[in-house]
Amino acid sequence: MRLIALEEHYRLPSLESSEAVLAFQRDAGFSSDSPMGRRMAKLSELGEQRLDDMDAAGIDMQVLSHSHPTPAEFPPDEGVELARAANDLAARAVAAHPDRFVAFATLPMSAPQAAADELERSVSELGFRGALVNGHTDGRFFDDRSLWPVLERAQRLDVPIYLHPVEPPEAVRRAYYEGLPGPAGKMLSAAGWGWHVDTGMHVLRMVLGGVFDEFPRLQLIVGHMGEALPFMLARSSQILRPALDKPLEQYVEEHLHFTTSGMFTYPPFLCLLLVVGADRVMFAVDYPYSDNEEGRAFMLGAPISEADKEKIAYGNAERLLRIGAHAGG
Amino acid sequence: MAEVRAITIEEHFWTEDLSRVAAPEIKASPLDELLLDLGERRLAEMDANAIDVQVIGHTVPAAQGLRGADAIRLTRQANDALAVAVRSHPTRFAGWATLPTDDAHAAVEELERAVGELGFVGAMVNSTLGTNGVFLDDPQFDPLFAALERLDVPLYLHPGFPPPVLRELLYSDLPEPSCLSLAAGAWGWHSEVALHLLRLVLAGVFERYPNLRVVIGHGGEMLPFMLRRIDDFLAPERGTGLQDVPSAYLLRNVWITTSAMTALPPVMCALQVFGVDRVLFSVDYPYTPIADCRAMLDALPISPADKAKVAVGNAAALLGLDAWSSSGKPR
Repeated sequence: MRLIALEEHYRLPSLESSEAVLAFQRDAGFSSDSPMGRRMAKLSELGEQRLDDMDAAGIDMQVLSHSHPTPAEFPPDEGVELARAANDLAARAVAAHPDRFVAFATLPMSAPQAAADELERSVSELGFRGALVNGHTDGRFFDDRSLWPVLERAQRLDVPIYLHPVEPPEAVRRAYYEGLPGPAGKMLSAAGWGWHVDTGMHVLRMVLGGVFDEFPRLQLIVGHMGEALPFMLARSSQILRPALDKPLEQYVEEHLHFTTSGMFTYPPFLCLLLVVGADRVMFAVDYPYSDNEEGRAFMLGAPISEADKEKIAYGNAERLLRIGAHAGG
Repeated sequence: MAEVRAITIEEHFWTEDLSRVAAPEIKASPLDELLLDLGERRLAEMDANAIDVQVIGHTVPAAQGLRGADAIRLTRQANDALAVAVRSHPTRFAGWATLPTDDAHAAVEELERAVGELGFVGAMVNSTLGTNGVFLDDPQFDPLFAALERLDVPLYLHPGFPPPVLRELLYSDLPEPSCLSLAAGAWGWHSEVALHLLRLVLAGVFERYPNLRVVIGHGGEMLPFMLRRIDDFLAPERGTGLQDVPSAYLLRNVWITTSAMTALPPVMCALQVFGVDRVLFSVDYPYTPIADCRAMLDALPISPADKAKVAVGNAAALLGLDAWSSSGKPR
């Protein structure tokens, strides 16, 4: 079965020795000879090694996106330069292997107008399929109007935004994640918990802040099986009903898509499917942090119909991102 | 009509005195009357929905935001009031102790009194960070865990409002009532309880107190959904200093209730991840309509034997409610 993986990462080689990367590796205990350290060493490669890893697991296509650190973490001028460089690098990989790679843009979110322009350049000139944005920008979430130029442009260009997790604001980290042994607090604030609930909460903020009322055609992709939103949706909807003009579920049906990135077990997958349906779920691995083989085995072994499996493995992605038969449509 | 009888274990009340001091801003809610009632009105609602037993705890924030002698006095009064109701209806009510967590030593004493003298089945703590500024992994609470283990009663870890810094950073700048809802039942309450429990795991609490039992509500506060991911990133080889992955402790020391969960998918997820012996039906009275929870239980697509466990048997076993056999029928 054809497999398109939606949340697959790379990194500008020039950032490998940046303080942001070194600090993360230090705080999280990821030395370069640890298993995760060896995986992360693959981030800056966009050629044969990556294609070999894809071939070994039967991944036909990766949708590339730039990993941590994002241009948003740098001063605006520097961020704009980094975003252009990162997007140009991905564009070269796509040009070299157009049947194996497409890409999401990375954006200098700390300069929202420039970020909107970079999104337009990436889509119109480089052929990118949308943008991946890492959570909050200096503590501002997407309900903050200062960030709306990016959403306005995404809607105008008719491309989705992939909302990816990021470290919590520093004061949140201090309140919630300090005082634990070793790297435990750091991991708990990140992929071990905090990333995911903060991203789920961010989606709710977007709904409550009127983002989808302002941009009625905007499409948002959320990874990690929906960042726990499917689990909480009925309760959140019930609690938030007085604050909304229409039910939370309706925003999900009109604006949200979900991927399997980094989560390869069936209980959350089935919960997601039962809540949102097979048309809104797409396969993703989260390469190189997660394992291509494990992702493939999970996808092919899913206890669902072949028809639904084909939607999730590639069909929904082809439609949403205009790949293959849907190109140019 | 309802088919299986049920015990529900995350049910709430408050006392006039404590609610007036601790939560004046929510005292005006129409729920005030329902929370104050520990008699006929509550029993009638239980009867109408085939709920045989409610295990009741003082609702958030209880006295956990209060300091000193007042906190201790109001806590004792609340537990005494609940004990009167339990004694009046011993086959219909059981009690969770509320604790003055600002003073860890007094919390231990009140737990001992509530279990030893009042016959309560354990303690319900409404998170803590929002009111007392610390999580229970702070070493000052080790004697509390030791006492829970020694008395062989569980701790119900219930949500509480997030601390001001979180309210400011994550849950502000939205049109009201969105901020409060998002910080509470729509998201923040639940993510904080899960975080709280994960902190207990990572601080080694369950290694130091291997027989400690903890109950969490709301289908497991998102933990069943995220559990494998948590294990992936907090395994011993990541340097956590623990003997095992977090799920090893959670699946051994933790029980989940379905309080306030009226949808089947998350409850199915909880059952698939934690297993049928660790999932217990609950309502979250009076915040969630009993009938909505009852409908979820009735529709739950599991065997009659498993449903009897979820509805009655698991609660009877966990809390030592002797009048109830594990088959789900009164002896």
